[in-house]
Order: sequence, then C-alpha cells, then structure tokens
Amino acid sequence: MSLRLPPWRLLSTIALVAWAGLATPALADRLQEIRDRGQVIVGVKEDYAPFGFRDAEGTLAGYDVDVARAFAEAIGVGLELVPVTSANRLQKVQRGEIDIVAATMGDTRSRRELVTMIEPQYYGDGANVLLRDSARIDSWADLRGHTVCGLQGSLWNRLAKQRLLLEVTAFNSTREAAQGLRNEHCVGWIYDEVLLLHEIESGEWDGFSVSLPTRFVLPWAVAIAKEEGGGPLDQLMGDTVAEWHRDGFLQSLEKKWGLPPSPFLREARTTWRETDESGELACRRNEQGLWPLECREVALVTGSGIGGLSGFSLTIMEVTGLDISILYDPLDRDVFLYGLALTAALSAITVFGSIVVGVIFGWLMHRRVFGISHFLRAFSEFMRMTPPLLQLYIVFFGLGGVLLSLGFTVDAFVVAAVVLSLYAAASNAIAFALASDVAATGDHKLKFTPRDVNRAFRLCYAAIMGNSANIVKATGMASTLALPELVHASTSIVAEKGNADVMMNLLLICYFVLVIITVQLFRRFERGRATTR
Amino acid sequence: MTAAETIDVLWTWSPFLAEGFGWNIIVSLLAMAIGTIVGLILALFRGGSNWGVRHGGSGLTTLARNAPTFVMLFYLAYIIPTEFSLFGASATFPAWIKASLALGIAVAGYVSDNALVAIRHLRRHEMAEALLFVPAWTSYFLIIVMASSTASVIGVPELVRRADTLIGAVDEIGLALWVYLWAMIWFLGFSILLTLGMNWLSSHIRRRVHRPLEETTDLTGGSLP
Repeated sequence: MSLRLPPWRLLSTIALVAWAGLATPALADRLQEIRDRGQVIVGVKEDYAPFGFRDAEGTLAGYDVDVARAFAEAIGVGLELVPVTSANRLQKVQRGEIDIVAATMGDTRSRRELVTMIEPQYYGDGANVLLRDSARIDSWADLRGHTVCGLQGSLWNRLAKQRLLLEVTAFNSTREAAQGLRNEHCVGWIYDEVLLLHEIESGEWDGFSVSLPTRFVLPWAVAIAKEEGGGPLDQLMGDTVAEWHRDGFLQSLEKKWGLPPSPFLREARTTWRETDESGELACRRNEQGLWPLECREVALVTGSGIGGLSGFSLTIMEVTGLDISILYDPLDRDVFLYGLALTAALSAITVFGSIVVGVIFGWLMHRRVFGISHFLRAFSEFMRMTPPLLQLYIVFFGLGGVLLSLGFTVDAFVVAAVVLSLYAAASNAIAFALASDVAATGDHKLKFTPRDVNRAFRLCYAAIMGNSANIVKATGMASTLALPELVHASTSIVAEKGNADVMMNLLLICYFVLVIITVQLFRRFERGRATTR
Repeated sequence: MTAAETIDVLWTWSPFLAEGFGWNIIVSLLAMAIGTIVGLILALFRGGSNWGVRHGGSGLTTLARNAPTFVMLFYLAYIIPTEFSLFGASATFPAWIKASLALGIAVAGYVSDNALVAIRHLRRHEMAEALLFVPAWTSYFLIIVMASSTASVIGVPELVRRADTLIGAVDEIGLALWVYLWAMIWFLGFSILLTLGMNWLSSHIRRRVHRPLEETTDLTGGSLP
C-alpha cells in the first residue's frame, strides 16, 4: 500500500475498496500455501502469561504456543511465531500476515463477521473482578455504578458497560491497569478470570481478592482469515481440535501451565467423546462438513448487542466495506459522542486557562516583581523544555501515587486540564511578557488595567491564537491517562470492531474541525472588538 | 525503597534509558529531514509564478500546519500496514518511521512558512537575514524532540517508553515519580545545551546583520505542534 497524506487517504481507501469489490476473489487455499512454504505462521500473545509470554530466555512460550506447535505438527510443517496484541490480531490474520491466530481470543458474533473461528473452541474462560477488599462488594449487583479498571480492547469492557452498567476505565497494558487499581482509579479490575487468579498467585495483592462468581463464560477460539471458512485449512484444524478434546491433550496443557481446571474443557471433553446408538462418535461432520448443532456453542456471548440497526449504515458497509459502527451501534455512538464532548470540554477549559494564567504570568514577568518574575521565567522555560507527555505522567502516575498515600486521589480530567493549561500558559506568558515590553513606552511599565492588558494582548494575539490551536491538538495526550476522550474512544472502538479506516478518518476530521472552530472563534472575537471600538 | 536503592536503579538502567533517548533523536532528525525537504518544496511552490502551484503550496501548508501530530501518530499507526510488498519485494514499515512521518508533517508546515521568508531575503541578496532560518529551524528541532516522546504511545522504544518499561519491571511503589523525573532531566539537559548553542549561533548571525531586523522569530514556536 502506498503512503499518502491524510486528505487523500479517505478517497484512496474508498477507491481501494471499490477496486477490491470489482475484482473476483481468488479461490482461497491457504493450506496448500502453508505446505508449499513448509511453515505455518501463528500469531500469539507475548504479554499474557501463561498463555503467550516470553520465558526467561526470551522465547515465546505458553498454552497458546503449545497449541500453535501442535497445529504445525498436525499440518506437517514448521512453525513461525509472531507476537500479536488484542488490538492488532484480527487485522494481521485478515491481511494475511499470519495464517492462524491463537491469542486468547474469545469467540464472539462480531468477531465472526471479521474472521473465521475454528470450531470446536480450544479453551473457555469468563470474566471476573479483582476487588479491593475494603470496597466491600459481595455481588455483581453491588458493583453497579462503580468504576472498574479494564484493558483496552478487552471484550469485558463492553459487556460490563452494557449489561452490568459499570463504568470502565480502560488502560493500555496490564501493568497500567494494575497500577490504576492500586492508585484507586477504580474499585476493581475486570479481566479474564484465569489471568486474575494468576495475578493473585504472584503474592503482590494483599488486601485484594477474586470472590465473585464467573460471568460471561466465553469459549476461546483459534481463528483464520474470513475467506478460509469451510476450506481445507478450516476442516483440518477443526478436526484436530476435536481430536484434542477427545484425547485430553488440552487438559494436559492446562495442567502443564498451572491453570485452574476449566469447566469449559471438562464439558467439551464429555461432549466430544459421546457416542450414539451405533457406537459411533456423536459429534462428527455432516455432508456439508459441519458439526451437528448439539456439539456447537450456540449461545455465544455476543459482544455487539446491535440494537436498532440502521439500514443506511449497513448498506454503506455492504457496498463499500466501510464499517461506520457509530451509526448503527448505540454503544459505539455513545462512546464516541462522549469522547467528543470530553475533548471539546477539555479544549475549552485548557484554552481559557492557558490564556488567563499566561496573561497573569506574562504581566508579572514584565513587571519584574520581587523575584517572582525570575521564577516564572524559569518555570516557563522548564515547561517548554520538557515533553508535555512526561509532565502528564509525572503528575498523574508519579505525584498521583504519592498523593494517594496521603489519602488524596487525583482525577485524570483535572490533571490533564491543569498540566496542559500550564504547558500552553508557559508559551503564552513569554509572548505576553514580550508584547508588554514592546507596548510599554520608555521606563513606564504596563499596569494591570483593562486598557494596558488589552494593548499588550493585541500585540501577541496571533501568538496566543497559535498556541491555543496547538493545545487543542495536544488534548489527545490525555488519552494516555485512560481519560475516555476522543482518541481513547476511537482506538477502543477500533479494538473491538476492527474498523480503523473509518474511525481514524473520523477522528482526524473531528480534530480538524475543532482546530478550525478554535481559530474561527479567535478571528470572530478579534473582528468583534475591532468593530465595537 | 530507600534513596540509595532508587539511585541505584536509575544509575544501573541509565544506559538502557540513554539508548531510548537515542531513538528520540533519531525519530526527531528523520522528522526534521522529511519535513524540511517537503517544507522547502512547499515554500518554492508558494513563491512560484503559477496561480495553481502557488495556491496548492499554500493549501498544503495550511493542512500541514493544522494537522494534530498526536492524532496523526495513531492515524498512521493504524492505517499504514507494518509489512507490505512493493514490486514483489516485501518491506517493513516500523513504528519509529511512522512517528517520524507524523512529526514531519508539522515540520513541513513550519519550514514552509519560515523558508518562504528566507527565500525572499535570498532573492534580495540579504544573506545574513536569510541565515536566520537556521536558529528558527533549530528551535523547532527542540520542539520536535519534546514531541518525539509521544511516539511511545505507538510502541517506539524511546525514553518515555523505556521509563515505563523500567517502572513496570522493577515494580516498586513510589519509583515512578523518580524515573519520570530522571527522564525529564535528560530532555531538559538536551534542551539547555541546544538552546545555548542556538543563542551563540543567533548572536553570531545577528552581528553580521547591519540593518535592524524585523522580528522574524516566531512567537508561536513554543508549544507542541
């Protein structure tokens, strides 16, 4: 794919999709391709012990890795492992970068729209919450309305919001989610139950426990590209997994990796070993190559409870392949609109705050009062000479941890608003001080009167407008504090729906519009002042 | 954690962090290189005689100036595939190049504006005034180095990312603040050195300018693009 600048990106995407629609799809035979290559490429996780992780030597290991190895043996080829994340695994398998993905992926209806899930599923797990004991929560209902920490891209976030009416703060990594829980950004951490039990075993969670009954038990499946559904690779892999259920291979892996016995594997073993009256296996493929309904997971937990389908957006999806999920999925729409509102609010507060603080600091710098002006000048230079992202981290994660030990919790929105305001205020202050020096005639310093402030303000108006536009663009950095603003909202929708093209273009358009609105407001304000004079 | 233990952690892993800072510089230099070339071309377009070319140059500059770099990072990370084939050969597109591209867009806008002024001076044979482009360019380089820390969000193993890794690996409560502060000192030290060098260069150029200069330094240059 060629590299294009943003404005053409949308057009090129549409053109590409149209072109792909016109071309007749080649008959897929990935299995032959794998055999010719002599190697199967499997995507596994590298940060998800004990399923896919790096061992002491740095090599990939775990339950999923053993599954991958067994698949390679079943096909009769070598194995190449590729690390994947929750956010990129669907795309990688669909783009053909990997043949198979075995990466702790829950089998959901929405994911089935994107890729082919191998049946039967090879593991099953549910959600649970690592709870702070002092929060005194004894049931799922007690949790309603509370905030729980989660991981971006995790299916549980959506289910927790939709069905349990929880607030979810989604972090980028397990470490950050764990830190979020310790820093009291939430009462609990909602995640895969086995992983939470694994965390508990590390012994670093005194005062926390996993005590609620498992929710949303969900089978995990290995997946291949959408077009391979029903093909030879699908058939071979499905037969292989069925055989594993019968001979107990998966349960032996479970034991090997120290996982608690999963009810899913126990039940699957019974199901797949059952025989009918004639003594043959009950779960065998019919003439169409499908497993009988009794052997399949019919009641799949669905991640996308799509209600009130909009025919228009579905037509767009069918014709162009563009999945504008915020048009038909009420949850996505709410997440996106809330993100937009939060970004707009943060922008407005930050612009306003940075101007007020900038003018005050700038005037003090101009007046050279006491030693404050030196301090402010040094402070402003310091803010300009260090990355704003680090400033956010220091206040939120660094000072936040210290304040917590004193009994205060810091709010992500407040931290973002204050830090970004001060960051932009530093540039505004320097501009305002310079403008005041220019506006002051002779030895007369400017006074803090509307008339004098106005004179200096007009001189540095363009600079302040530029700084304001820049700080609006920088508000996206608040997403790193798990604030569910526009960037955060867009990436979490992409993680669940896989519609990066649509969401990223929407995100960019929203930001362009926000910047244009900011600049236009400044221009209008300036014109307004010019005419009233 | 005692102060001695904290210092020991910071000291032991400083080479690891330094390598990360190397990435910040590499990403920033590549962004400056891409942005400067594109920006110069845009400036030449804007100074051209053809109406279409001139307006094309201005339009693209406006876009580059208004592009939110933090959002562009995510945009490029999601939209450009990491691996792709070109003329049968497969090539990789690592995250750090995507970061340079995202930052380079902002550089192009800035360079286009400043180079336009410099080119006008050159046409009038005002060498010294045109040379003021150099300190302006350097001050923007400083801003880009600060902005390069945002590349951590798409997985570039630069200083902030490595600070995060270190905090996670050592996993001692209270360490985060000190590691982040230490990382901040790296950026601050680099900024101060670069600014000192820049001031020396600026005064050197200004001394060669005979006429009093119109204020060409950009007051907006202070914040992240």
